Amino acid sequence: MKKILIVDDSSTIRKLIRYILKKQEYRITEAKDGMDAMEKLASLEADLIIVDLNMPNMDGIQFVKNLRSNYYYMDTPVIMLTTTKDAELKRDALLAGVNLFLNKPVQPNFLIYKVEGLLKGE
Amino acid sequence: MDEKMSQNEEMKEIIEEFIVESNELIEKAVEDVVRIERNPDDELINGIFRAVHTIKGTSSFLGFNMLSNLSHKAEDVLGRIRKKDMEPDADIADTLLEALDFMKLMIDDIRVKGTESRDVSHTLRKLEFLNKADTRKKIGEILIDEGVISNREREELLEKQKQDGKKLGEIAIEEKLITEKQLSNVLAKQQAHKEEQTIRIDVRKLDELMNLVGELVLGKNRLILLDSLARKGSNNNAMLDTLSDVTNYVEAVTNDLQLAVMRARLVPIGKLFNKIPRLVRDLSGEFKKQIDLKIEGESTELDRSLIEALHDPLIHIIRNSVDHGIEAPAEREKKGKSQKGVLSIKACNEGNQIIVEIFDDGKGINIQTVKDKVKEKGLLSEGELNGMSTREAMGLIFIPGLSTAKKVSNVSGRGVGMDVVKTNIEKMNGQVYIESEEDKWTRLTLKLPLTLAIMRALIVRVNQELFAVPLNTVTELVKLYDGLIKSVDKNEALVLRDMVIPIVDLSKIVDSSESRIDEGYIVVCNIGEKIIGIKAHSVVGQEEVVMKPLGEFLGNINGVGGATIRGDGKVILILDLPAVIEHYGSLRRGFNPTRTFSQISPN
Repeated sequence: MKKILIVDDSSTIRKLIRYILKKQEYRITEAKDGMDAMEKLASLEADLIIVDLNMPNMDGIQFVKNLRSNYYYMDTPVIMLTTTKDAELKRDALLAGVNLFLNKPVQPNFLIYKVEGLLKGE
Repeated sequence: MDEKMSQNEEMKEIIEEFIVESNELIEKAVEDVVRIERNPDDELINGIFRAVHTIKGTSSFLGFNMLSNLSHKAEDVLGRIRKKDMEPDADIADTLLEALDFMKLMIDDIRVKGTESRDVSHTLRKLEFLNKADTRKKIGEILIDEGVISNREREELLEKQKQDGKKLGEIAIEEKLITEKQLSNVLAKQQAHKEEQTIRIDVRKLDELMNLVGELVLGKNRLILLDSLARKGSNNNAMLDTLSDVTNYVEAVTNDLQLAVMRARLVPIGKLFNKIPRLVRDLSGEFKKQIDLKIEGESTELDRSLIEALHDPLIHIIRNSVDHGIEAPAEREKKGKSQKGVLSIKACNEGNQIIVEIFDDGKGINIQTVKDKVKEKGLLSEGELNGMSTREAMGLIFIPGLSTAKKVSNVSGRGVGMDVVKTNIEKMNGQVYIESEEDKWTRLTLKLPLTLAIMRALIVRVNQELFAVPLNTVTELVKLYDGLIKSVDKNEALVLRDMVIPIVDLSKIVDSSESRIDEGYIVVCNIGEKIIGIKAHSVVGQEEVVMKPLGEFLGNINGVGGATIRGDGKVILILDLPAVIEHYGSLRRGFNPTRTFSQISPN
């Protein structure tokens, strides 16, 4: 079973994504910010990470930078969910190593499709 | 079909999560907005930004587009503050608070109706206006564009602005040209709304647990009794040992469980105190008072239901302090006080009780005015008033229907006086004290129990009946002897040190056939400003009692707060002392209440 980590400071968003991906039978773990996610990843070998941009303690970009500096997670697909229209932030995030940007609110089927694709290595 | 239902169920759960989360975020953001005005701290601003940002994201996900749009606009303003494009001043804070108020209302709408419907075009325009660069200087023009003020009114405003150098918006509010009414309307509605449940545990479950614990406490009492009975009668030592073991075990478990459940229900009073800065900010604007607010002891914990019940009385007391207590800056200066009045609110633990103290250094209470008012209303005679100590006279302020403020203002005069505050606090088994020095200060002290359901009581016997007297009210026991009780105006009284304490003889009410109490004890009880003595044939001891309501049929009996079941399974009544005092007072004046103890003797 594939393992997915959802990193978002909003418990509603975490629940929603869990709900959207329910049928796919992934093992889903939640983290409430970048710091929490780093701790969870120490024991969890995630196959895909869905991360928010703006979070307390450690934001999405910093989290992805930290993530990519870890040998094990160098290629793990990362989807960033965000509402930002700030092109500069998006560029920073992509440079940090985000694989895909999705705007909130995301279409549930589109998210499922993209998650499946990234997990298959597409 | 099933799947669809479970899907709906899950969606409902997500929306519930959304409501709880958003309300928490908004509540925190409101507190922080009030703070940034004085202290534009980056971390605070980031926090507010994130809160609004999160709500924008989640609401758009869930299709609450109006809410999403409003939070989007508010987020833009916060973004500008964050980038230091603008300084958060009172105007900006007002607009943000207005937006947050509407967001909260929308979430309430979602909770009640499943969708949000509010006309927020006005707030949206204000936010958009803040988002335009450097437009704020021309606030007058915008007001004209919106048709809120006329050209001539703007000229006048600008003229005034030159004179006192305040912001145009402030002057416009002072001149009653814009939005204050809207703001107070929104606030009133917000007040009327019941608060979201904020412990992240289902409260019904907790209540159930609390009831269970109540039953368990009764079971423990039964076991303890059984144990003592068996000890007296049985020779079987093994059985006795087992029984003792069980008793000890049940007792320990019960105690632990009781504590744990109580703790789970305890909420820091900060939940309530956090709302005060906003309230005081709004009130001081409304009454043109300058107030230095001090809050201490936010982490003091008490039962959740008490926090809720404390909400209205506390807000009323604060309104009173701001409206009638603290003087206007000019008046204060004349008295040689600093222009800023001090309003201090403190909470602390004192044994099994919580003390909440509300202090202001305002004009205090003029006892003569209070007495005059009481006389004028014919509530007490001149003789009665003259015989009163200062302390007792202060207590007059709690008499129903008494308002010493010359003019009823729209804030304090909402039909609730200090009498309602007192009634509400006493309903929680608490007490209110007032102290004051005229022209200097007023201090209200509220004493509340940690929890309502379980309390320590003194069990006393009157004739053959047992009664439970809440232990937090009992101050001392006096052994009866001949000549101790004096007769004052045909009423019995006890002279204890320098106090004259009126005596309540329950035996007269319980059952008239029995003889009078000539020996036994006087239980001296202190409730608020009043002291009474209750005659008892004997004192059985202290016990933990679980308060059970008497139910619809027997409810509202004067002087009885509820009942409890003792170890032997017998029901005994718990005295409601404030009501006993009231009842006793009316008996003294020759008034015969229709329902008394005699009709409800619990046999």
